[in-house]
Amino acid sequence: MGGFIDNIGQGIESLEVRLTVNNLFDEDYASTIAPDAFWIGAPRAVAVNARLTF
Amino acid sequence: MKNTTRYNLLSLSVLAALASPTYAQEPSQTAPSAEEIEEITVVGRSVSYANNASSDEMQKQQANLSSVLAVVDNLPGVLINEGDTFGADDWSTSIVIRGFQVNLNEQQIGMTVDGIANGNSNYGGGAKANRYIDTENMQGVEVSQGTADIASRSHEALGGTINFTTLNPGMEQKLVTSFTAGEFDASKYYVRYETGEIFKDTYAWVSMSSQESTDFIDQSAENTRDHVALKFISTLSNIDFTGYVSYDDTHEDNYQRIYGLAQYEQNPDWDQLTSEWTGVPYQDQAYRRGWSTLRENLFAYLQADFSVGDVDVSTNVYYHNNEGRGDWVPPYLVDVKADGDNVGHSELVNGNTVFGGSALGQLYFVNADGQALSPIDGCQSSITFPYGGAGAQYDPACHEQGAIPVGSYRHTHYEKSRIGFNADAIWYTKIGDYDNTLRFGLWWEDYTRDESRDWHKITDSKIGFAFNNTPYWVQYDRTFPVDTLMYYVEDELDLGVARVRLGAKQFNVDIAKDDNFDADNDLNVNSDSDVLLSAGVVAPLFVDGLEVFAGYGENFAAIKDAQLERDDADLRFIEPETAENIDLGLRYSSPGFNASLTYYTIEFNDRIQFTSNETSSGIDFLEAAAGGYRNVGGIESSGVEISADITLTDNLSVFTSLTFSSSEYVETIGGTGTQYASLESALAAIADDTNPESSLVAVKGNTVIGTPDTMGVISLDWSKDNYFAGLSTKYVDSRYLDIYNASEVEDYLVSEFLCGWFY
Repeated sequence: MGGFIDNIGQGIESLEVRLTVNNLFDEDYASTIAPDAFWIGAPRAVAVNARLTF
Repeated sequence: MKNTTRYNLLSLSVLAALASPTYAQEPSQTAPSAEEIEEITVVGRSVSYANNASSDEMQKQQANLSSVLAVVDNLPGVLINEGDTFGADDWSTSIVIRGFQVNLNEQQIGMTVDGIANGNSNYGGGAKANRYIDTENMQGVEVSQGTADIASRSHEALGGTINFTTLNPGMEQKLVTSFTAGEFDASKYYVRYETGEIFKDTYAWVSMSSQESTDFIDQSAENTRDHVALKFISTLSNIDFTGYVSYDDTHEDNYQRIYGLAQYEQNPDWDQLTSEWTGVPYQDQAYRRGWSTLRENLFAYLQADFSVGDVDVSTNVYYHNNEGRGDWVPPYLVDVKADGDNVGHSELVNGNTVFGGSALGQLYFVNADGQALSPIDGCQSSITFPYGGAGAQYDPACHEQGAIPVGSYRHTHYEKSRIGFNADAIWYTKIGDYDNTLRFGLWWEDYTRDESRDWHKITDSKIGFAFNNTPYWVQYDRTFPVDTLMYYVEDELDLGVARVRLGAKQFNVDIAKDDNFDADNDLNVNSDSDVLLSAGVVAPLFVDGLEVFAGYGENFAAIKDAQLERDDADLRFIEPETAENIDLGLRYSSPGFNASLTYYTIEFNDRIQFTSNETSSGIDFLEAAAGGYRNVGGIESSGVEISADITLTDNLSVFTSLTFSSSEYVETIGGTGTQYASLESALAAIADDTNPESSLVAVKGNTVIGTPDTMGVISLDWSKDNYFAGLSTKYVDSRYLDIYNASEVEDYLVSEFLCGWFY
C-alpha cells in the first residue's frame, strides 16, 4: 500500500483511512432527558474517513 | 521563575516538531499553546481541582462528521447525549456533569473556546463549541468538573467548565484533505491549507468544510453545515500574536422528545415526527422538516501574549455574531386583526403585517373569500395524531366541501452580537525562599441579544410547507443588552511541601429587556455576584509522581436574559444561582501509568429551572416566550470520580473512568415557589381546591432528573506499524424522568469501535 502511495504522486505526504462504528451493538437507549420525557438514542452508525495530506 | 509557561510560540513549535506522535493524526506537528505543554495526561494537570483532558484516541473514536462535543463523553463525571447520530440537533443535546446540566431547560456548565466565553450554551441565542470549531480543527478539550480555574470566562460555570482548543498552525506548508461518508446519507468534505512560514515567524492555516446528513428515524431531515475557519500565529517584537476566525452555517431538522415510557414501549423507533406532508394542518404540525434550527455564527479573536519583566501578560479582544431561527408549523392562522363581519381575514392576504398586539382567535379552515369556517355541528373528529388527537375544528372531515385548510410557519429569530476583552497577568516572584505566583485579570463583555417572532402563512397548506415571505404577524420583538465585568486575583505559594492558593473573583452583570413594541414591558436587573472565594492545595506525597489535592470554590451563574423573556416575568423572585464546590483527590503520574481519584461535594443553591411550553398534550405556540423560569430550590451533589490511563504494552493501552454520583433535591418546592416540610404536606396543598398550588418542581431527597448514579468507561487502543484500532464501551446507569422518581429510563451500554491504517 505504501508503494501505491509512492506511485500516485511524490507530493503526497500521508494517507489515513479510518472506520468508525458508533453504538456498535445497536443498543436501544434513552439519550437526553427532559422532565417527563426523553429523546431516543442514536442507533449504530458506520462512517469511513479518508485523509490525504499533500 | 516558573519556566514552563514562558515558552513562546516558536519554541513550542520546535518542541512539537521534535515530538513523536503515537500514530499519525497529524504527521506534520503543530505548535501547542503553553497550557497544552502542561496538559500532559488525560487524567489531568497538577492543580488543586479535578480536571481531565481528551486524548487523540477519544477524538478518533468519533467520526469526523460528529460534533466536537462528543469527544469528552469518556471522561469521568461527564455525560454527553446528542439526539442525532452526528450531533446535528442542538434541540436534543445535553451535557451532565456532577448533577449539573446543559439542556433545553438549564445551562449550568461553562463552555469556552480557546479560553474565550462562548456566549452561553442555550438553544435560543447561545452557541455550543461545535458552532465555533470544526472537528478536524480541534486540538483538544479540557474538562474541569467542579471548581475550575479562577480565570474561567463563563456566566454559567456552576458545575465546572469545558474548554475547547483549536489546532495551531504547523511549521510546514501542506494541504490536508478529508472525505467522510457515513450512514444516514452523511458526507463531509474538508480541506485545510497550512501556509508554513508566510512571513517572518508567521504561520497560518485556512480550512473549509461542507457536510450533510439526515435523521435516523425516517431519513426525512435535511441537515447541512458549512464551516470556514482561519488561524494564524506570529511573533513580532517579542509579542506572540494569535488570531482565529470561524464562520459556521448550520441547518438542522429536529428530533422530538418521547413523552414517557408508555410511548416508548409502543414504538421505541419513532419520535412521532412525520416525513410526509399530509395536507391536514393538525397532522402536519409534526412534519420534521418544519421543526428546524438554523444558525450562523461568526467568531473572531486576536490575542497578544508577552512578558514584562517577571510578568506574563495575555490579552485578547473578540467578536461574535450569532444569527438564527427556530421553526415550528402551528396548525392554524392567528387572527390578529379585527377585520369585521362578512369580510375575508386580512391575515390571508400576502403583504399585510400586524406588529405586536395579541391573538384574537385562531383560524383553521376558511372559504374562498377568506372567511373563517366552523366545523359541522356535532361532528366528532377522527384525527388521532399527534398529541392524542384533535377537536372538530382541526378535522377536514368535519367541514363542508370546499373548506380550505390554513396554517402557519412560525419563526423565532435569534441574533446576538458580542464584543469582549480579556486580560490576564501572571507575576512570578518570591516570598522569602518560596516561589510565589500572583495571577489577576478581568473579562469584559458587552452583548446584545435580539429575539423576535413572526408568523408566516403557509402558502397552501394542502400541498406543502412553503410559506409567504412576508409575515402576517410579528408577535414580539425584544432586545436584551447585557454587560459583564468579571475580575479576579489569585495567589499561589509554593512551599516545597505543598503549593497553596487563595483567590477571589466577582461578577458585575447588568441585564435588561427592551420591548420594541411596548416599553411597559421593559425590564432591568442587576445580577452581581458576591465576592467568590476559592482556595486549594496540591502536595506531593511519598511516592514519586503521586500528589494529593484539595480545592474549594464558589461558583456563580447570573440571571440569564432568557429569564426576562416572558412579559409577566417577576424578577423579584429570581435569584442568581450559586454553588459551593469541594474537591479532594489523589493524582498519580508516571510513564505508562496515570491515574486520578477525586471525591467531590457540591451545594447548589437557588437553581433556576425553565418550564417549557411544549407538553405531551401539545405545544402552546402562542406563548410569547419559550417558557417560564423560576428558582426551584437547591441540590446537593457528591461522588467519586476515578480515571486511569495505562500503557499495557508498546502496542496496547487502556483508559478507564468510573463515576459514582448522588445528586438530590434538598427541598420540596411547589410551582408557586412555596417550600413544604414534606411531600405529604405538598400533596395536601395540591389536593386543596382553595390552594393555588397545582404541581411540584422538586421533592426533598429524590434524585435529580436525568442524572445517573453510576457511569463507567473502558477503552482499549491498539496500534502497530501503520495500523490502529480501538474499542470503547460506556455504561450509564438508569436515570429518572420525574421529580417523584416514579419513572426512569433503563441503564445502557454503548460501544464505539474504530480501526484504520495510515501511511
